[in-house]
Amino acid sequence: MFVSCEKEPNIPRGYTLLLPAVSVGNVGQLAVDLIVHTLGMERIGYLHTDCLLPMVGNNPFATSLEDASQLATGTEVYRSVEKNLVAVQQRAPLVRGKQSEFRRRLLEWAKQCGFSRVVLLTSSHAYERIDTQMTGTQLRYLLSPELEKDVGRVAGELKWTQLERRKLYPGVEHREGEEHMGVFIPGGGITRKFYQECCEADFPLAVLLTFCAEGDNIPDAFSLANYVNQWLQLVPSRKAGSKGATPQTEWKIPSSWTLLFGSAYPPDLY
Amino acid sequence: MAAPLGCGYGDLVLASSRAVDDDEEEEEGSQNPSPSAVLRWSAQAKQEISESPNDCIECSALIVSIGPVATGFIHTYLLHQETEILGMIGSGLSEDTCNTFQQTSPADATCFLHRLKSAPSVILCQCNVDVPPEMMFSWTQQLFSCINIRNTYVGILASTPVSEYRSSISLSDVTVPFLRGLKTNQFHGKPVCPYLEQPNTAKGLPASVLTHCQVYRVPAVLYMCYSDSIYVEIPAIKAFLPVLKGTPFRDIVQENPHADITLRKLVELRALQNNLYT
Repeated sequence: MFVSCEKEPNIPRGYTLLLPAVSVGNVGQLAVDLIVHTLGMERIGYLHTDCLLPMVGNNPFATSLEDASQLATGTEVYRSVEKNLVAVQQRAPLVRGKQSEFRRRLLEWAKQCGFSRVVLLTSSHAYERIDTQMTGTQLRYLLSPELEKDVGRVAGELKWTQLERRKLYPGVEHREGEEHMGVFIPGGGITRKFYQECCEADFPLAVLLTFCAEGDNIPDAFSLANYVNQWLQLVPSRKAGSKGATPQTEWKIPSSWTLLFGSAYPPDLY
Repeated sequence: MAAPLGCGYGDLVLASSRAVDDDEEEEEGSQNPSPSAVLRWSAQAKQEISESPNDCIECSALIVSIGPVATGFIHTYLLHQETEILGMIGSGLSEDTCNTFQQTSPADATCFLHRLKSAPSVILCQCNVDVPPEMMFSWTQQLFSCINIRNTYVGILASTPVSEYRSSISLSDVTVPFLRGLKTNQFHGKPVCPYLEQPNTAKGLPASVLTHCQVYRVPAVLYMCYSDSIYVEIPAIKAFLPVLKGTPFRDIVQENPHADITLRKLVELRALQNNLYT
């Protein structure tokens, strides 16, 4: 699935893998855009597979006319040696019916590369929130058992809120010992199933999510990127003015974020 | 409220999400394995492949045209020369569709690989089939499966509605149809038209072929024609004319003195299919 564009493929073992899920508002993907562009991560390869729909365009992270014509494909892999970080940016949806195959290959690739942990950025439908989620921070985290001890402690220090478990079958009586609470991430794309599969495979996965609705999701992307940054310390941040608020970071916005809501209207219309 | 059709400006995007819902996952188990595209070579091509040292057909230039506008252009300006059919790629067709090497009308839903007799290392793929998204990857793999692309230049032509083009300039100030280009890193020249600006992207089969070329380091260029008509029209076909001056077309083009007649017949043939009932 991974095809390197370097002469000597180089993904050192022990790096962190940052993944977006194609989820409501595309928040995970927007957050990865901010991280890749701000850190100036270099492209090291592609995820070339029949599980993903094809898409090409010019360089979404262009900083000058010279590099603007560099071709970008649907799903690419970036690396920051300074931050021991590899990030995947997925710009195209999954082929219908290939979701489980994609998750399987993703996990297999992550294991092969020897990543120390995978951080999955995603979002969930705001209209499915329960009462306790309607107020307060909209950011949540979820950890696979492999990461509970270390990252759980950090999450506690940062006063993060763990994603609440929900009743699997509301209104149905459960027998003694039967599992009746589970993870529920509507609109999260591959997140729920990938989380379950990582737990079963004892693979270190951290899910960071935000509740949101479809619309202008730029603020949600900033919020999620700041959330990641609180933990991974990728980009210097300054403390927020109000107590308990997430520290703010100077993120660089990529050129692909123009005209997000369509072209300009013809002025002679009015 | 959705914007009227064909406006192409400030379209209100309905709040649909591309996130895959869990419900779709349950359908996967019951689905049959997805079909793959299949490449059938002609008897002569099969023999040539079996006799070659690396089981490949030699190719210095591969031209892939996708859709009626692009295939109409290649049919008029390149395929007027003497050609032979090397093979066909079958995909997106129902089981009872007949697809033989004799179906050579430019308006037929076929996908043939042609070779110029005057330049046997030039292969032209004319794709008039709507390839389903789940078969695009295998279609591309099939196309490149027996072609030696080590020293090949690839040219891809396609068209798309101008309503998909995003620009800070109002479309009423732009002359339609127009061309935009994308190229792989290995293609060292420049396209003969402006680059496709961010945030615009190309998708579907043209993107699948260009992605393959980018990943496997093949010099390739994609020319996309943005047209404001859903029908095949002469201005849209002629919008591709500048590409004949660029690589890899300029070395193989020969003037067609009957180009205008060919174009008119092609458009009339297509017009027969353009009615409310197709």
